[in-house]
Amino acid sequence: MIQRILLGVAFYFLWIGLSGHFSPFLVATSLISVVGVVLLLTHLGLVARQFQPFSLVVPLVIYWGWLLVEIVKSNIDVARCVLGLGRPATPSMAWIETSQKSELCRTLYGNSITLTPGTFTVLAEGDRFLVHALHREGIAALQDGEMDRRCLALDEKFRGRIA
Amino acid sequence: MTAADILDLGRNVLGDGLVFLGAFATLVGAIGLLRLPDFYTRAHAGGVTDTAGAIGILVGLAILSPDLLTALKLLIVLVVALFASPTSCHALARAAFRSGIRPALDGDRPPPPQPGE
Repeated sequence: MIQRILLGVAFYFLWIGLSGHFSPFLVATSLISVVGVVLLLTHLGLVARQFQPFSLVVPLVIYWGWLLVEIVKSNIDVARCVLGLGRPATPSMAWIETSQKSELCRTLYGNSITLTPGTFTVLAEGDRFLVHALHREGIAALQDGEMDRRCLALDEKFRGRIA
Repeated sequence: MTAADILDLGRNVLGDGLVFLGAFATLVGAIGLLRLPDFYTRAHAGGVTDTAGAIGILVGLAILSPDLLTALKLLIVLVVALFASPTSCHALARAAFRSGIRPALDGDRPPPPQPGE
């Protein structure tokens, strides 16, 4: 139930943010449409913690801040390689172990690897990712496990609420 | 010059700078797409356009936008783009790997085998 109310509130803010209308009639009808959408999602069985992880919103935004810095750093690296200013490319490929238990946080980890330029996930089989990197150091940095640790902390927070 | 003028000037400089950086990153991505040797390394150049290009241009436009609602919409577009682009990049790489395109690796080493084999 709390999940549905939170989802409805999120939808309502999204509606207000996208429409920008505040007349009483439209605000009332939007309320009806939000309730309708939440009921429809309940009927489809799409209201669940792994689809809307509200408990992770604050840690996730903090994680995004860290990820943004990593994205900027690796963007500079790849741009220098493309323009021929830095080290030449040493493409490499390796299987990376992931330690997250939940599908959600494993997806987060895989997407974070792909989102930082210079490394991307080619295959995701079970709890391992096949990662391609533009530089050999990219694989080494992933095996070092800073990003894995941060995703694991989010994963533990996510699963802690179930138990 | 009043304080509001200075604030406006600062906002314009910051916004224009970010849009310029985003456009430059997109250009670098396009050059990389042409210069790098094989499919997988070219996908890395696409990553530059997806991240630095999208972040620079959309955040810059959000800072330059006249009202808060427009800025909010641009940031929603950015979040959706940042969720969609790694997914499409992964789908592309996975399809290439599955259909037998093997990357040219440093020192001519073969790509690692499947974990089950």
